[in-house]
Amino acid sequence: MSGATKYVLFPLGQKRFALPAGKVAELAQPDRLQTFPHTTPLLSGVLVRRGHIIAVCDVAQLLIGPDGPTRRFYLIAALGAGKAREMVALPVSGECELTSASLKPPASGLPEYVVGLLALADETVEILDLDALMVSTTRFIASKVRSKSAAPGAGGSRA
Amino acid sequence: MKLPPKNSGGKRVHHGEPVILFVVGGYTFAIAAADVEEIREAHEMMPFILPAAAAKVKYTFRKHSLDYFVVDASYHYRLLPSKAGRLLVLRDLPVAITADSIDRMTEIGPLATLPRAFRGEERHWFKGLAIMGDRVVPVVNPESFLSAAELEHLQRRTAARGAAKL
Repeated sequence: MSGATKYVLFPLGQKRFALPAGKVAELAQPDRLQTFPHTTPLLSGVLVRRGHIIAVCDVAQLLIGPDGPTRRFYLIAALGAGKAREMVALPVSGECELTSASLKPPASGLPEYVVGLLALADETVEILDLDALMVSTTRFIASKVRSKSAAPGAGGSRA
Repeated sequence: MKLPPKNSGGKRVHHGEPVILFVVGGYTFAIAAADVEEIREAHEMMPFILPAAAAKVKYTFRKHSLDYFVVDASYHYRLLPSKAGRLLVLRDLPVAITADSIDRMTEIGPLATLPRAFRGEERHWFKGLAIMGDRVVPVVNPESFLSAAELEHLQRRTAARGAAKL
């Protein structure tokens, strides 16, 4: 894999991650998060953007752990392709940056949702496959559920 | 409170269709008015004690010689227990659901499908989402509260208990 492609870098605490620019629609100010009961891991609710309902997926819990920083903006990015394409909002902790760089293959041992690396001047940034990341969230919560017993009223997520 | 008869045979929620907004555990839900036969006071319920029955059914009541099973909505939606004040008796099903309170009756705009990112039980729980001003309210699927198999099991157990009393 080679050739310069555009990526959007987004911060989650001290670390930055990248998504292909073609997958990113916009960086939005925090809107009113709407919540309702559900059981899908890492989804924290929905936003209404220009009359459309967008799921909010807090991937920071998976990428940097539960004690992440305050999420200040929503990065609106595409999930899926073709007719299955829809937007999701990823809470991020600061301003994003558009960069153009060559993709390097991921090092062995990295999660399968890391599809490559960007070697920048003073940091190496993991490039994420958002669809694979969403699949990983299911495994992430499955491991959490296995580690603690579920009880009525205490289990499940609330959007 | 008796509700008017359903004006269409369909089970879909249409743009402009009346819905009842109700509250469970601090969350507001909508149900198509056509899916509700009656709203009752919750104190009319009788404890439902059947071992190995569906855990979310804790009460029952009789109406027109028929047993109605009351689903604890906070349990169904995995919420913390809350105090039921009303029962929404579903139409065409011997099922009622608890509600902490009834908000109001209103009309909803176009029903939005649940984003595909939601992959859990909520896909069965809700017909979709309604945008109401600056709020998003899930519209419940009345068939999600008790499956046909659960209902059959409960009815069989209730009938067996009735026969044992004779």
